[in-house]
Amino acid sequence: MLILMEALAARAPGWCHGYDLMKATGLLSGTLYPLLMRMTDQGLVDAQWQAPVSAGRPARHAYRLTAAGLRLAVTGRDAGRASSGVAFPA
Amino acid sequence: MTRTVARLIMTVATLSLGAHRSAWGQAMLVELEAAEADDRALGFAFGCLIGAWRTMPEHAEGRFVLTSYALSLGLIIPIAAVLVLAGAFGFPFVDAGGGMFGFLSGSGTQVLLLNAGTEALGPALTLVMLLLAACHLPLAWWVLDRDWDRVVIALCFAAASITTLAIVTSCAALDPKQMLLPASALALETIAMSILARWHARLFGGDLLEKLGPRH
Repeated sequence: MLILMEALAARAPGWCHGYDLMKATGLLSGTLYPLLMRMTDQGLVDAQWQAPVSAGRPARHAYRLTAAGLRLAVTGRDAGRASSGVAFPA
Repeated sequence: MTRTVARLIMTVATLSLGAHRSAWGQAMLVELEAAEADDRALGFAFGCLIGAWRTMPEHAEGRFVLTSYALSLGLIIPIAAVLVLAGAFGFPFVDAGGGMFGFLSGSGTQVLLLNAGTEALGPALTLVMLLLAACHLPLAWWVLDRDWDRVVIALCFAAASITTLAIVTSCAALDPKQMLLPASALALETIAMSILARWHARLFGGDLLEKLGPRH
């Protein structure tokens, strides 16, 4: 889930498509979609249908972190850094 | 070929997600095109199917479907298999020494319980036993298909078969108590179907509740 949140946070506030997220995170579709569904249910991810970029193509489902999801991603990233003991510049 | 198989798998995945997740099913289906462009359609579709199955216990419709499959594959089909074996075993007119193992290995002893006046009933009793077993196969399918009208017909047919067997065994001076076991199995199936049908009615609408009676 953290990998997915990091990938979404890196693209925030932009929207990402499911297959692009798979490639970015290395998650398989069987892991990615249940995670996206759960995160959407929890209000961490927004999902919407986007109009096709070219004629004849279908609309695609796109995802991005909500404000709550973004806060959680930042908290998770900070906690990860603190636990790994790596010092970051202020 | 790969594309067709992938689309077929995606259809199953979409259906497994249920009505309330249908938008997610559509979303996966659209992304399949991107996976096809990368030559990863089959892996993507298979992953979506696993993902859809993983989410099934999380929603009521998914739990209902899983329970239907458990009932069909875990109860109805095994009962059909036992009935076929029992019919082949000579139930209810053959007394088998050595039990099932003796019958299968050929080492047991079989004693025909019918006498000269009633032994002609043997094939007919076996036929009814096999019909009773056979009616369980469409029954299992109709449960999965949620076709409760046909489920009721199959259960009535099974009840009629057991009643016939009980009457004929009594007339042939056999012990009618032998029919208690298949009758108990049928009662168990009927109770399970009734619970499943009421659950289905609660999930998908009230028409069925009216057919099943006032207590729900």
